[in-house]
Amino acid sequence: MIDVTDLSISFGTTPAVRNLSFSVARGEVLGLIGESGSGKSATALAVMGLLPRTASTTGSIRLDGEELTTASEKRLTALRGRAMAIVFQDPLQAFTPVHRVGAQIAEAIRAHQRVPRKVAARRAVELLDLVGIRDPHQRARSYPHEFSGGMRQRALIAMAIANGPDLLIADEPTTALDVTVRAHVLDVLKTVRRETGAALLLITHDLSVVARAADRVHVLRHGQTVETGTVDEVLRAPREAYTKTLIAAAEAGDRPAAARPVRTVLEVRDLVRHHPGVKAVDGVSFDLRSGETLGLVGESGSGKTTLLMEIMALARPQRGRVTVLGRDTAHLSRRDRRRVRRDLQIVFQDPSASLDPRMTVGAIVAEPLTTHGRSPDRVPELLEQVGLPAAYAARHPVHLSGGQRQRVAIARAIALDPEVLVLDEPVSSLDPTVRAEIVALLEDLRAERGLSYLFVAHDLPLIRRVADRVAVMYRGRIAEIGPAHQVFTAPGHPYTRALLRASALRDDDPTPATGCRFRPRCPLYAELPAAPRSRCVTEEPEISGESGAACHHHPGEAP
Amino acid sequence: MWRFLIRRIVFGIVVLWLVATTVFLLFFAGPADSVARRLAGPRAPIEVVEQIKDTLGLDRPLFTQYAGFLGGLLRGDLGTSFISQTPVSTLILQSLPGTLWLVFGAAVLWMIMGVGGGVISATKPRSLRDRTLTVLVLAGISLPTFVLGILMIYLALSVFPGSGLQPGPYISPFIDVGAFLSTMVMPWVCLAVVQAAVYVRLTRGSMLDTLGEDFIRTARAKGVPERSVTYRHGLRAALTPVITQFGVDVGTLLGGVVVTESVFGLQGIGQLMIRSVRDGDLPVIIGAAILAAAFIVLANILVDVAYSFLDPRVRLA
Repeated sequence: MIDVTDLSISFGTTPAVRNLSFSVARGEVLGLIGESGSGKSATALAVMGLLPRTASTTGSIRLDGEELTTASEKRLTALRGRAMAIVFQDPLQAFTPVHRVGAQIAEAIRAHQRVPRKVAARRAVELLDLVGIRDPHQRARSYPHEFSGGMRQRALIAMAIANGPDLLIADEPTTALDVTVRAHVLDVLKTVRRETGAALLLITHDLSVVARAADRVHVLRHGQTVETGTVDEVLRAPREAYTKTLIAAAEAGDRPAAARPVRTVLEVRDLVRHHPGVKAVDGVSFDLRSGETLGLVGESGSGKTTLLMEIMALARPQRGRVTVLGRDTAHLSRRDRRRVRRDLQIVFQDPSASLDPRMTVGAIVAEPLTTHGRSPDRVPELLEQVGLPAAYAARHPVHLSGGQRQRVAIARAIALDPEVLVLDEPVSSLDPTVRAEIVALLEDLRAERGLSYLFVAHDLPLIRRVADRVAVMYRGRIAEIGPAHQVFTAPGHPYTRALLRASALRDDDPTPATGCRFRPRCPLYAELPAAPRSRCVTEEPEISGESGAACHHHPGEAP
Repeated sequence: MWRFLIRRIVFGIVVLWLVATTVFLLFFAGPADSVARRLAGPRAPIEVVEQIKDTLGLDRPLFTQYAGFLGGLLRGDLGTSFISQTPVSTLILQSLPGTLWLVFGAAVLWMIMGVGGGVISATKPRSLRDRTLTVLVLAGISLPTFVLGILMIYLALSVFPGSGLQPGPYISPFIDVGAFLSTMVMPWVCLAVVQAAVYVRLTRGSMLDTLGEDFIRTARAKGVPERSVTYRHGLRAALTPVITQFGVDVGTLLGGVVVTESVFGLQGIGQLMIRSVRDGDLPVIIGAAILAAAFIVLANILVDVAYSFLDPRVRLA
């Protein structure tokens, strides 16, 4: 279906892809794997003819025998979306924010088929239904920002298959998603391949995605082929050292439990944050003790970010109580609030967004120091502590890699010697090897400085590695909390079990008004006899002392 | 949405009240004699000063004067001009149509030129046409309105006298369309050229940002023709900051387009303001200032509402 021969791409004098050759047959899935910068995405754009003007390509790309590298722009426009389609990563920005999702899918249909507006709109609804979006009629009228990440990704797939393409390229289709949604999206891609018989080029840095969805795999590094073969051959018996490193980086080991913590640095009790129509945080309680890492996991929309923002707000919550370092945030004086701000710092997910591009690295790290009336002399020392040369102080964030930027964000966060660090997905936007480095840095800093981490991530192996205790959030409440090894090896809540297996659970059921909110998706509930079921319907389960699971029927208790 | 509107309107009224109070205090706070002297001018005979003190009731306590002033404002009574002895509201109503026609006519022109130019620039950045436009924009921004205006009048009267264009006071199009157009075309173009320059820049910048977004790539990837990519996805999303600026500009200009009106002798609010300042015609100055503030407040509310229609992510709350 698609034959790429001797493809080379360069941006100016920088080569991105060198002598790459591969082909994908009808109905086949080829996984193109490598870290960012390995040329995967450039390859995808080259196939689509969407490389920026600054790029130059040599070699040949044939779609169904037709040469694409020399095709006219007009011909390419006709092929794009009809013969070949692409699902981009980062679905947040992939839809035009000012048009409704259904209209954007219908637009793709009408770009290639002469059908009336109404027919295209109806077809868009069918496509949304096909990719598993509930209530597609209503949802087609939503705007992109009203979709969750998983829904947007599915809608993107719906748009890509709107004209039954022969070749479908999926560029990191699951990177921005959390575990359960990821499983869904891969299932949708499988369905699509079955239904349309398209050739699928699956681009990812995630080996588990390749293992789950691809037939063959092609490993790229620095724009060159490292290794190629069937998924079994390459993942089970990699021949090349680089492939082995990739596999090793993906497999995370257990880590020994840390020394017992001493005092409570952050105490959250029955915290509630309701937005109109959404119970974002609906009664959450937990403790963070000094020197420990509490992992917070949950799907997108489970309320993790809202919870963090409520804690960081240092204001009186709607209901409940937040106590930071022994101070109730509802009654902070100006001075105390300043002091607590100093001791409670945050590192955000995306360092390119959280660092002011107009400031130098030095100014960024110095800012908290000067704000709190301290001398910025420590900046070089701080940079060195996070593994950056002191000379980087003069640079701007744009001139740093993603990993280096996150180091700057960490340096800024530790500048005031805080006691508690809130880490909001601190490594999820980074490549696997860089991710490992940053995690190692965070662990070193914690050990050296006795920091406490509230560590939010959707990457479960990562949480298993770094966390002493784990809290699992579901729809605004904690479903289960306990020591990491217990939660991971003997989960008490059916939701935790589903998360760990990454089983496909529908992600858009409405939350029931009473009783257990996990009920509609709960595999355990589905199998219960009528009598014990009624408890799940009428009574909201609380976290029980021993097992730490908010379930009426967890294994510790007789049903 | 309604709650937002009501809150904004209440807030707008508070702003207007503050403006009115500030203007009042600026002119009326102080001993009655010195206020009257200030109003009459340093060389006015003592009888005139006394007469002003009498007619305005400057002897009354400040608060009573203030209450009278606010009460008048609420009734739409802005006082009577010292010079022409006409009610200020009548003067304003006479001058308003000229300014309205000038601003709205020019606004249509400058949006077409500005947004069009911005799109042309942004779709081919660093091309010859982009650079040409950049130079023109720089010229437009640097060119003072009065120079452009006088140049236009010179060309119309001396070089192309057959054009029929001429400077002169505003004539209602409902009375004489021909005369209306012959006096308005030049002010329209003059005001629009200067404004358009700013809008080319603004649109170009906003479009360049938008065209670099991922969703533009998505639109191309689904095989949408480049024209639709540019307009339906690019311009539509890029328009929000342009509209914001547009609302604020129109609001500001409605308060009086001083230079353009003066150059072309158009009898608008700007002219009225200039004249009243020159003559020390206090009630008219106060009226024009409050009118200008009201336009700006109104424009800001409209911009906020327009924003929520242009960008579905914006919720008015």
